[in-house]
Amino acid sequence: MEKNKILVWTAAVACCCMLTASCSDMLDLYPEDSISDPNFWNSVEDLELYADYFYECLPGAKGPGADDESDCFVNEKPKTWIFNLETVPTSGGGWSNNDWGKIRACNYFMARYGKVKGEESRINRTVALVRFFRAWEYVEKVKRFGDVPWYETELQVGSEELYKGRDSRKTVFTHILEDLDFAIGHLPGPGETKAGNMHKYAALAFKSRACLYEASFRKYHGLGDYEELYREAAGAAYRVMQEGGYDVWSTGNPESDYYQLFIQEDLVSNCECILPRIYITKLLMQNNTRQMEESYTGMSRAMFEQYLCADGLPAGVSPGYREAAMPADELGKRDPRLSQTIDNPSLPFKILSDGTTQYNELPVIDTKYCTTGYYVMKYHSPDPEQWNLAQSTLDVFIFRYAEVLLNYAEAKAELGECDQEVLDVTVNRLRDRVDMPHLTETVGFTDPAWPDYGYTLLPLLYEIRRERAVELVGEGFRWDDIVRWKAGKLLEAPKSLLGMKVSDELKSKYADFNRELTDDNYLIVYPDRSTRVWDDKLYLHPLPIDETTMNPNLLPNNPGWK
Amino acid sequence: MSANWAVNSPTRKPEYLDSWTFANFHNLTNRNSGGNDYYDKNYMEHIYAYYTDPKHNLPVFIDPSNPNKYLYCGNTDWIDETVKDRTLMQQYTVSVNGRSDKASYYGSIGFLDQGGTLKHYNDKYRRFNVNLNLTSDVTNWLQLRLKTVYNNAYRDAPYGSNSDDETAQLNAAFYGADLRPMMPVYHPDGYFSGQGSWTNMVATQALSGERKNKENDLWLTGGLKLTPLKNWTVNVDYTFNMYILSKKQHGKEILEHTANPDIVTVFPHTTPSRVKFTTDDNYYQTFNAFTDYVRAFGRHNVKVLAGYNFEKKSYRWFNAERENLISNDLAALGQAYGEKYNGSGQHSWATMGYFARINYNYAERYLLELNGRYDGSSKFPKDNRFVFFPSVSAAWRISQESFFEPLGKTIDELKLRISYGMLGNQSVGGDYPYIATLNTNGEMDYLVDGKKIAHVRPGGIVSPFLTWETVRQTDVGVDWAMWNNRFYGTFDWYTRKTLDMVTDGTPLPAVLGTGAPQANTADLKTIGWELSAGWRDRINKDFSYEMSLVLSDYQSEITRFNNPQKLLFNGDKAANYTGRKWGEIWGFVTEGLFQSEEEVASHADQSEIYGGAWYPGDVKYKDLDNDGKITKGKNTYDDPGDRKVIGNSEPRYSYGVRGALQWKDFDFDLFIQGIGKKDLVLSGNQFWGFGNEWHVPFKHALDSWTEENRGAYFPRSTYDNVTGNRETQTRYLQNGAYWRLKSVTLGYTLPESLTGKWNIRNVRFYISGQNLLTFDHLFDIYDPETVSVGTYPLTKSVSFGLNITL
Repeated sequence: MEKNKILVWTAAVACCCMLTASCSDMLDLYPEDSISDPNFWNSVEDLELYADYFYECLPGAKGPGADDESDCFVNEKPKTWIFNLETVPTSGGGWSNNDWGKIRACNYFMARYGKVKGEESRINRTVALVRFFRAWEYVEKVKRFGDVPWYETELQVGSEELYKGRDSRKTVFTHILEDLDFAIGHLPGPGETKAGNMHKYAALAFKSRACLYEASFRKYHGLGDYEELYREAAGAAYRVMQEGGYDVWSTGNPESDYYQLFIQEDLVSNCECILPRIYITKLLMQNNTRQMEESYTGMSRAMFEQYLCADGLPAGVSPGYREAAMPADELGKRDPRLSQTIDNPSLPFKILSDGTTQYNELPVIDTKYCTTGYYVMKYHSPDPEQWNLAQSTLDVFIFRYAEVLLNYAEAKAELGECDQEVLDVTVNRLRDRVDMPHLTETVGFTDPAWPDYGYTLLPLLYEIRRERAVELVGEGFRWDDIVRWKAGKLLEAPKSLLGMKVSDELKSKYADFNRELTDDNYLIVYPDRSTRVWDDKLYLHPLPIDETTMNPNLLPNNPGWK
Repeated sequence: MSANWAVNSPTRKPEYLDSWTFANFHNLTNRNSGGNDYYDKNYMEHIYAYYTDPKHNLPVFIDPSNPNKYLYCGNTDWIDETVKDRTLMQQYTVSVNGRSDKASYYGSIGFLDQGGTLKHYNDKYRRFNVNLNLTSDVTNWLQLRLKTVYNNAYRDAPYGSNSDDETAQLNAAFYGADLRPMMPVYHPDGYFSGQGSWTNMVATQALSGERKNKENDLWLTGGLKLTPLKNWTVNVDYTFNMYILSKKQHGKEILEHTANPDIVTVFPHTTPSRVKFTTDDNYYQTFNAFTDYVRAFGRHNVKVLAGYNFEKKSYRWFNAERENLISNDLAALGQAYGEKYNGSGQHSWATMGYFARINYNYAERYLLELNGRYDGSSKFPKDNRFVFFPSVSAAWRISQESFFEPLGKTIDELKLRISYGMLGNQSVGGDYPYIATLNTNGEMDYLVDGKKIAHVRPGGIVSPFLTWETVRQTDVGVDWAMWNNRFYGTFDWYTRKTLDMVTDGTPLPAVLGTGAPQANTADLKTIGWELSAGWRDRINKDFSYEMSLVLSDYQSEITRFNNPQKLLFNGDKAANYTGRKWGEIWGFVTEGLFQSEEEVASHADQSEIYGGAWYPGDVKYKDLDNDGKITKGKNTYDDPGDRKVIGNSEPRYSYGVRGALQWKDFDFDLFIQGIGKKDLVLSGNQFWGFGNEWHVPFKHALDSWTEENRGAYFPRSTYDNVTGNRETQTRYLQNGAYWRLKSVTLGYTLPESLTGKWNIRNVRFYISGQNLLTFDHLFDIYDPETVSVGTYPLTKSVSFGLNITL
């Protein structure tokens, strides 16, 4: 008994000792299912995997809201920003730590990629991609806030730089150009990489866009130093035009090509597509058709009036022009792009399961679908499969060649170098698609209805801006154009709040017409508002209160904001 | 043996608005928000026709702008259509125990079946458990113990939607926020309504598929107790736990019909059809070894204890999913042809501690205890892994003193206690919070070369200095028993300092690109007290009763936090700063609702709250700093604008009252629980009414300001984005105080004379009610204990049960 007792007792104590001896190792546990930073950064594949993160920045299908904050569209509910109803936010407003997250991710990469040894051109491609997106992110910040602090190193919790003041937009843009030029120099051409990957000409297209923005902003807001930037914009666009092998897409059907361009299943092989956002059935799908149909918005009368007549002259100048009583007849008298942008009895609305096609005889005026009677059908496909909620597989443009042509024309015109040769490879190429008469460098007319930008322009610039508005309507460029042209006055035009003209004949055709009209018979969208007042402070967004409290060096806030 | 049958119903079942009231309210709201009537004259006529005469009118009509679409004009109470009023729950247990001189045992088996709450899906929850305890004195110095617990549970719920978020899944089948009362359950042709634009909750319950979960939880404990010498024991035990959760999710494709029989569309939230299996495979082990020695030297009693404890938990899960089932009703990974997905995860944590204790008392009159713990956790870096936590407590049983004798008749027990100690807390987020990891996404929403690409991106910033939170508590207490132990109670007063709490660090500028890392940055001080007292008495052999009360209160305050500007909010969340009372609510003071245009014009400028126009019926905030403007200032403690502390969301004066009495063979018991004071800020469309046009308000939102209803509680009804009325403010601060009859039971035990005949020791019947009565100050839709509406609510139940002991 005694011996047993001692044996058991000794064994127990021994166990305890053994356990306590191997003790502290048992608390050394490491992540079993995530990569820790010290274990990454080994091969070029790691860099490529990291750089792919930034594709999240690229836009996809934008739906009817793309140009909703502008003078071209009238949303069912007044948009709070352009109606000057917004106040300085306490936090967020585009300046939250999520909004700066991608820039942090860029600098995190730049601080670490040097650890990797490998084929230099491959490494440079990844660096080019990351620097392209750092430029992309900073362009967005400059557009939104103007002066912003530039960071190119990784910030830590204790970094003093967290509290530095804002760098001027000119300083930031110089850095942006450096990043873009490096990217352009080291990204592959589209033929050397897979469809959907960023490439040299997409980067050049973006450069032409960003430089044109910054140059116009500086010119029209009186900041100076813009001529060089116009040259950069023109130069970048020119390279795309000369080397890219792109062209304006056409199948020889001017009355339907423009409409068809935006409902293509596959844009990868489309000659007008510089970079597509690819959608494939069941893998990744978009919702444009459904959203364009239940859009709660519509094109404004102000935008409608920008379309030229079929003879190439504005409505106020074209001899013998009289507005038709029925919109269907009116559309036929104007630039063919109008009847391929707006719903009308000749545009297929929906293909039914019995094979017949549904057309809308009358303009839709139910505000759930269309507020103004000008029912925008760009991106809307009549194919019922595309109408299923979030099941559309049509590809969407990220960069379209038409924009590059328009950038080139505008930059050249601002430099005073836009001659007929330039027009013929840009504006007139676009007009050829829809069989419209060419624009001449002398223009040849004065339009009494040129939009009131708040200042006067040369006729050629008025016309180039018109061409841009018409060609790119609904694609998300309009707000940026208004800001860079300092054209807030456009939002004060009464017709930017109104819908189509409703003649008595048209009104009588509706079974139940319950919308209100102005004295001139334009459709009213906002019964309690007939005007909109612009405030210059709306060109830039304000920094939130929390951020300026934490870092007073960021003050003063943008002009006009407390 | 015991059995219990209960009828459960939800404590709160919100009442849906009827279609006519809703449509008029929606039109009013839409007009107040700057638009026209939301439903035009034609639409309203259809709604009214069906509302007044459902027998002769259809709940749908063709959309004048789209011949293929129905517009809905019915009158449906969706909550009533989807949720049962009452469900049945049954519970059975059989247990057996016994002892001999060398061994004792206890075993039990239990079964619970909770009836489903959904009307159109046979939802279930069933649980089965087995317990077995054995103790055996192998020799006179060795005792072995074995304990086994096994739980098995099965849950069956409808699929709902493709979302991974459980709340979203349940919402799709149980309670949605956007189903308008005009939408009927069926179209006139018998198909479910929805048309691809609305989630028909009856359809999702019936057709969306299922989620079936099986849980297996097994606990095994083996231990031994050695007694090498008379007063010296050694205890060793080891526990092993295996937990397996297997889920099978089957999402079915649902076809939706429109007004045009040729146009059929697919319900977007369950497409494509799919099957997904997930298995969670978790293990938990603990090992405890301690030894103690007891000795008495005359009137001195000493006990010494020392030990070691180790715990480890490891998690592992993986899942496999495939889309596009060949047959919509057959869910198997091999019977599908679409995309395949899978994922896995694995992580673990461990803790270890050494502890020792000394107990000393003199004549059971003066008591002293000393404790020490040395704890380590895998969650902290090596340098900060182990921390030492001592504590000490002393007590004085005054009632044992000789000078106390005269009072001894009345006061049976009086004991004063005081203690001071420290303990550690390893409450950090994640299992490896000090190691920087990268995040991966294998399935980006961006296609290259026809495939989704993958990426790796940086994680958040981590602090390499994380360590234990230390809780230091000082407690002073008194226990008493008087009048022959009839009146008894304890009272404690304590202050507790929680040091080095792990929280998000100082708010940092957003340009950092990520949030501040978790770090030990905060200290919290809590002061509170607890009282529990009771009275019990036996009047005669037939009648005895007992009443007791528990009352407690505490308040906490942040004593250290690095927020030098004392920002009040970090984004939307309240920010911490030194001196902040825990739970404090900052908000505006409401002067009232504007009653006229002149009042609006003559009041301070409220444009920083909302830049648009203010109208009669909107909220009039008080200009506390008299600067002619209503602002949020710099959003700091020193400059909060026109805000101040208007309340506190921490519960104050929590109490429980219990009463029991026994008369002959009857027993009666009731328990009431409540909170004396608490402020609640309720927000969201459930409280305010319309957030956007897709919401359906509850009845209380109807009391909103109009010209005819100037004394209304709510301001004029608008959508969220065109109003500044919904700031946190005194007028809409809700009173969260409540009391609730938590349980009441009446039982009857069959007389022994009867049961003795069949050798049955005891038979007891009882009827019991839980959560039967509640008194609170909130709107009808809220339950004061859970507050938010939606998903499975608390239940009110009436049950009948039976206990038999042989």
